Amino acid sequence: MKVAFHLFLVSFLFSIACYGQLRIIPSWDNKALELEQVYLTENKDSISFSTLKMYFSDFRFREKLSGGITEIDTLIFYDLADSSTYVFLKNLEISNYDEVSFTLGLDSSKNVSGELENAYDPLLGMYWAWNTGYVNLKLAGKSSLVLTKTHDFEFHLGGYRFPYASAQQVQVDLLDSYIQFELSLLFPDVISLKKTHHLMVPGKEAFLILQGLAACFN
Amino acid sequence: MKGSRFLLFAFFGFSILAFTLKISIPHPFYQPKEWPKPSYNFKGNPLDYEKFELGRALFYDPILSRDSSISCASCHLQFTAFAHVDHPTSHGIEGRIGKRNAPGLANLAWRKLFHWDGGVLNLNAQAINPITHVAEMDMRLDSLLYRLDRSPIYSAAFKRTFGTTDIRPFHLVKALAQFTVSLVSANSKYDKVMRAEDDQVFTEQESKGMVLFTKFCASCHKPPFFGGDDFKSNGLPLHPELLDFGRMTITGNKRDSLLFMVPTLRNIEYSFPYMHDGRISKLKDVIKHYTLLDYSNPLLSKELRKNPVKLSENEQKDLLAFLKTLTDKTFLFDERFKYSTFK
Ligand code: HEC
Ligand code: HEC
Repeated sequence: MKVAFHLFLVSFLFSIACYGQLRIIPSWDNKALELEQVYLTENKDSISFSTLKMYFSDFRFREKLSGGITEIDTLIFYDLADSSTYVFLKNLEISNYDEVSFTLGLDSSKNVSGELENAYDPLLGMYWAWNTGYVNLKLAGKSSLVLTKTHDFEFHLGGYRFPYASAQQVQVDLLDSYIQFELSLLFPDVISLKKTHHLMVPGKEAFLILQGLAACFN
Repeated sequence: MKGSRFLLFAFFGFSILAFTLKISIPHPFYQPKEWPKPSYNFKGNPLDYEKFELGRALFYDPILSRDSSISCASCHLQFTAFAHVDHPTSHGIEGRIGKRNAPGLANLAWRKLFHWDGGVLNLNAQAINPITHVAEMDMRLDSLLYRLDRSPIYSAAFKRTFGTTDIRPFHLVKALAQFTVSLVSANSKYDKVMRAEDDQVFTEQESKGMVLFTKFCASCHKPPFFGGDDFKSNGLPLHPELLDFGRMTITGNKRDSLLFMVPTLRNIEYSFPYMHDGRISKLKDVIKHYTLLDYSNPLLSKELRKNPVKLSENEQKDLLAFLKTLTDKTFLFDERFKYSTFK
């Protein structure tokens, strides 16, 4: 009850500013996630986050009444450190829809488009110069689970080539105008920080972690 | 009456003509008639002479490197077909040594994949790579844009050409691409002979060389580009220190181990040293390399395995003479590609 209330409060305050627009709210134990805040995992290990950046693309909304599909083929950049990125698709009245599917990350054609503008701007820090393409999701922070001196972890998760095309399909019911992204589900099942605390290349590992991340949307 | 009206028209007509002429100096990019359509997306970056001049100035300006010591041209020199003269692997700032040889730059508009491992899929995006690479220019993009913003010359130039007061990476790389895409080399003796132009004909030795080239080399080094988007092994063993596995680094596929881009042979006479790590310095030794290969090596690409290169001493000289017909002096000395700064 209490946790739901927290999330409710945060989203309520936010809704006043931008009613009816889609938001994705990263959370830890159902509370809106804050950068540099120390959280505890299930096994009482400490963890905090310094970076959470990700891409969303190819939205498909299902209309409540008609069941019709509205497709929006666009690329959206989300950065927990920048509140101006929190609200998506500003012209869409979200209460008209009851389901949405989207891609967590970018598909191969977006990766190689060479666009470099707006959400594609390399200044956002998601561009991989040595191997054309973008990181789908960046996650970094500190945790007592990391047994190095600094306890830092850092994940640049991406890659669009067969067989580890790592962008993930996500489908969620739109009960509210926000989608929850619960990160506590990741540790230790999806990411075992004791084993892997730095990952910056495409491949099977990145693919599996992104798969696990996709399952964290409500 | 009539006469003065005519004069008036003539005056206006002439001013309009002069005005259009001034703003439409031809962009150096051109499409050789017999060649296929380019792959470069010109719609996303329409040819514009002023942007070309901006790109050219940037290409030659060390402002792009962290300590303002090297420019693109430090590694890509016009007289050596825009390759890195005399360095097996390229040198970046503070003398840091890269892993690979800087390839010559020509006919990039027709390419889909760039770099020895094909890791770069877009000519615009390519430029981000050397600028930010620690062994090359080692410059943070945001600091670079800040520098350009503060330079009265560049901020004015970006405003004039791109209409922006907020220079973003895509402005910068599009300006650079206006320059690199225009490096068209299609005017060698070979091209002229093929076009039956200026009464040019091959010498007997060059003709013999061309027959040998067609028999042994053209399966990979395909005309009219003589190289490009293919990745093959020509039998070079793994370099024990550089440990560069080529295409496999990008695809993660074991079958791509030790495959490298088939480099263009245009202007090959000038783009020494040769191969992805510059391990062979003389062109005649490259030819020798092909004659001395172990053709039972299963890692060798099939074009060579199925068709071993056998050449007598004389035939090697013939082949060398043919390769030299791929030299395009108008390209190597084209004034429009020379060093320039902004006025
Ligand atoms: C320190 C030397 C160095 C500098 C400086 C440098 N390059 Fe390069 N360039 C290289 C090397 C080495 C490669 C091959 C890289 C590879 O295969 O991994 C390359 C490759 C390229 C290619 C692809 C060529 C092909 O055939 O695939 C282009 C285009 C290019 N450079 C343009 C530029 C531009 C534009 C700049 C300036 C912004 C620049 N370079 C600065 C060394 C350099
Ligand atoms: C199996 C395909 C294949 C065939 C056939 C082939 N080459 Fe190559 N060639 C390559 C590849 C791949 C490279 C680059 C290898 C590397 O750097 O690892 C190369 C490199 C070269 C280079 C160096 C170019 C540079 O800029 O560094 C020259 C010169 C050359 N080849 C000439 C020839 C000649 C002459 C023949 C015919 C006798 C020939 N090649 C046949 C694939 C081939």
